Amino acid sequence: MNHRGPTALVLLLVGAVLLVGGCSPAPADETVAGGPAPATDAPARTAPGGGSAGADGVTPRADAPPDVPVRPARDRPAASPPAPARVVVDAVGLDVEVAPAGVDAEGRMALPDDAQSAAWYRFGPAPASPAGATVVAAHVDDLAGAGPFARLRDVAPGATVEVVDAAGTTHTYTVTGTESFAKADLPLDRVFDRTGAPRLVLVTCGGTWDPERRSYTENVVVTAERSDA
Amino acid sequence: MHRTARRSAALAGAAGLVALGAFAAPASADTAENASLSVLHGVPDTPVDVWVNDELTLDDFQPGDLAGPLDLPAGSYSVAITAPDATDTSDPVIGPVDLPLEAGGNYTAVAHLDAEGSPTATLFTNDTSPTAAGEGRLTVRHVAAAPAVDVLADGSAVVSGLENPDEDVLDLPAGTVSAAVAAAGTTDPVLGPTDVTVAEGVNTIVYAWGSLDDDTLALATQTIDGLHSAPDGVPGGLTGAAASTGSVTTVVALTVGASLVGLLLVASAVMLTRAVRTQRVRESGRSTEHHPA
Repeated sequence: MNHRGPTALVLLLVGAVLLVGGCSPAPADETVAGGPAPATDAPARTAPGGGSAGADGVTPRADAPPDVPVRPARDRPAASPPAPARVVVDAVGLDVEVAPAGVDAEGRMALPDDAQSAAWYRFGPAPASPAGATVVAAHVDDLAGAGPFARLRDVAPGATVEVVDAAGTTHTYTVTGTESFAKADLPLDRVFDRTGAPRLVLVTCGGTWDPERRSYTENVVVTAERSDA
Repeated sequence: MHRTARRSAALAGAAGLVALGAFAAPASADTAENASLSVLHGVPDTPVDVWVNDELTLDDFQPGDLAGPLDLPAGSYSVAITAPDATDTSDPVIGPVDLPLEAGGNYTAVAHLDAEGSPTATLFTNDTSPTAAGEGRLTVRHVAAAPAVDVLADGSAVVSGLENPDEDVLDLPAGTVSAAVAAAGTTDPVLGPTDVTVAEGVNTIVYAWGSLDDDTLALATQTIDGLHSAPDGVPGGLTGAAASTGSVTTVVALTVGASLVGLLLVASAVMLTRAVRTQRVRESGRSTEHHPA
């Protein structure tokens, strides 16, 4: 009958408004601030000792001084290894571009808004660094839907991960484990560890979406060791 | 070493030439038993020998050179600086001074000129407390025969009125600053400007040494790394579109997350479907009702 038409239309509009309100896009507090980009990319490494102090051949002494490293007082940060530029996990069809990133305004690792691209934590190790975890992370989704890192939860131990760095060198890793942590329990010191065997750590979000907090409940962490190690 | 021994050593040192940890930073979280000691030679034109507890430790140590770090058991050390041809510490140029080194402490002993140009030595405690993620530490030390100075970073004073043998410590976002040293209250550099890299997680210590009158002012740089902290977290999702559960809510969220247009379309579709279904039910009910028996 004719009188039901307007009722249905009103319900439709109210429903649409409610859905819009409940699923509004990324809130400000999840937006990555990016932050200024300082010029340096790696922690300084004190220059190795420039020689020993026992080089004085003019006045030989019975008690030779101990071998203390001496260098000109001009310490500088070591040259940074090339940044990772691309991460590929064939087993799950993941192939993403990677860009260097630091920390956001809240002190968290800064990530690009676009879930199709990933960030490398530029203050930590790079693939060619002699030690520590190269950390690459990405948003699991964005307004365009799920991103490639959503597939991280399907990555099994033994899978091969390839990282191509800015110099074009390919570094090959083998996945040793995929873990999920409640966000508050993410072992940050372990994920961002700059010591120990060189390794790759891929991070994104997982668990369930908490619409109240505009956040996922968990972090998914994939750890991989160097295949050639 | 015993606490008492350290305390008396500190007293002895304070009475002597050394400013003993007068500008000591908070103790490091490091719980290592040993202390770390570096030595900087900041007296122009004068190679020296450095003796620790009467043993020759640095032979023919050159101005502008940095030695160490030495990993030493905590305790008090007697340091004497002599001419490079000395055979013992009986005629020191500087000292002997007592350096009280605490377990886990990180120190730099600097042989330098005081503000008036006389040789002296200062023991600085290096701040190795953790730096925030993304930040580095800049320490500036005035060990030159010169009046008070300002330190300029990118043209503006970040340290004012720094006197020999004082220091100032700043935590800054990692990056490169153009640093210069000017007489206090002025902006005309007596040193620099020079680019100083403040690397993340590193204490970059810059010394102004030498003599203003003799035109031997110079900068020396020492870095101590490993002070970094992990970031506070990793964000990882923006919309819920990749949530793993397969409930109706999630499916709807997945779809509407795609775009605002998609959201409106889905909303419309859902409501239309419901409206049509309701109408059908009612119509069918009515038709039943009106079905002729």
